[in-house]
Amino acid sequence: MIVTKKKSFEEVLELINEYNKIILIGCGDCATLCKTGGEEEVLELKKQLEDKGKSVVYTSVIDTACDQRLVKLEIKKFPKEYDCILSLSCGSGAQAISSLIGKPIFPATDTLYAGVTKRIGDFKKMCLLCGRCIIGEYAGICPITMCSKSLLNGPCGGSDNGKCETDPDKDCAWQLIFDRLKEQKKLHILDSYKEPKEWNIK
Amino acid sequence: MNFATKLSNNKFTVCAEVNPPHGTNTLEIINDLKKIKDKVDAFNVTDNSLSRMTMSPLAFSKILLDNGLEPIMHITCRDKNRLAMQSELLGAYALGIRNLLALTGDAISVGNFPDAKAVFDIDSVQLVDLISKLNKSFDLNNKGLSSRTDFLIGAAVNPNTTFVDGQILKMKKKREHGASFFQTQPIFDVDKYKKFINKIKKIKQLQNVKIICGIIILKSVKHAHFLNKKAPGIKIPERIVQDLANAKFPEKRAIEIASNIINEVKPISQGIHFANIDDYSVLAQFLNKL
Ligand code: SF4
Ligand code: SF4
Repeated sequence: MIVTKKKSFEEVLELINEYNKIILIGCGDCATLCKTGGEEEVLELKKQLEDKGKSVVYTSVIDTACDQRLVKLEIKKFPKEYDCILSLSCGSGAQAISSLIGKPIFPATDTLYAGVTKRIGDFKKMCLLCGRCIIGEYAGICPITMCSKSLLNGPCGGSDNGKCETDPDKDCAWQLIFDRLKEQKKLHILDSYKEPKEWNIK
Repeated sequence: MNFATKLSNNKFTVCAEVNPPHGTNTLEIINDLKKIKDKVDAFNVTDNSLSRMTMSPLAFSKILLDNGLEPIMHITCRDKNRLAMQSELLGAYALGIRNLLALTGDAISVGNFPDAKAVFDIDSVQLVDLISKLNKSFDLNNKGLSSRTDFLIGAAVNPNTTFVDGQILKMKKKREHGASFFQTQPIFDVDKYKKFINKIKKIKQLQNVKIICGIIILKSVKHAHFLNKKAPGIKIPERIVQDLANAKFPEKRAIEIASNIINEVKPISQGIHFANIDDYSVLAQFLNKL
């Protein structure tokens, strides 16, 4: 899932400062799970904007905002007259809309990473969408995302008691990788030299 | 005798770390370094140490050379991608820099530009490999260079960590890919260091590897607390902090502590490396007695 975070209302207001007639578009998928762009959040933002004297002329939650087939159908329902669109989906969903329509569009969320839902509203960063996925060589633990320095050939010298040097509350990914491979009796996998990563696979 | 020759002749070496200035004037620092010039084989020029911005280590290393001081230029993976690394290294060699310390680099978040984008395009093992390629007259794509580099490649290792197996894994790869000497994080726990040295002695790939032991001359209890809290990979045992706290003259006691550590590590190391130097005059006095 793509994890998003709400922008502050002040920031959103600043973004659309010069516009008055606004369309709000949410997403029924990730943004709903993140509680950043579902039905509830769209209505909440609508109310906040109206309290500030803006006119919200249309709202909708597209089942999957990054699916352009669905976006195309939705756009047909837009009213003729409006000034701008506020997207409550991730950056990808917002661009699914912007690439189909010439009107100004603004994000009401920040897009953080691909993550795992632990509980509603509690996510764990798991993937930075780096291209060629290499977790098979690392006991299923992503060194790109989970290691603060994205190290491929072994830990940095700051790993301490299983924790990362950047944050005493964060596990050292390399300690996890090491321990898991040891358990699997597969530690030798780490011995081979790992070449620099291809960041741009097509 | 230069640093590389001394190392290869198994002579004991002394290195001292220097942070380039946070500005453009280098006069004061160079004058400081000249105080210890005769006692030091090479100066480790840091690369935005602790992710705090200072002058380019390449420029500063060249200034050292111009002043008759031999640099070990640090190069980290934090701020540059593989393109920038290679061009920087070719430039460094052309300017006369011969010794490198290839490092991962501290995390961006510990420094004074925490919003900067961390690069970490390649890691320190891959960096060692890249430098070896340049030494063999190839770039990272294995395309021939018009002329090659001939760097002495150093790398870092931290015997202080609780994850020693991880350090050894990486050390073996660094060695295999061309690192000829290792500088350690500053050592305060000598027993742990000895155990570490014994451990690597038993590892085939690490036979004959040259280890230069990191040393910090503490200044005060506050300094010790600061390092324990802020410097990743450094651990000052409580007994040393207490020892300093109980001392009538902490600065004098700190010098004794450093001397004791040096005496113990000297027989099992190929050199020492003074890090986090607060006062070069103090170090000069210290080196004169060593
Ligand atoms: S290696 Fe990590 S960041 Fe890259 S795709 Fe796999 S999980 Fe995502
Ligand atoms: S402590 Fe572990 S997770 Fe943190 S940067 Fe170092 S190797 Fe990566």
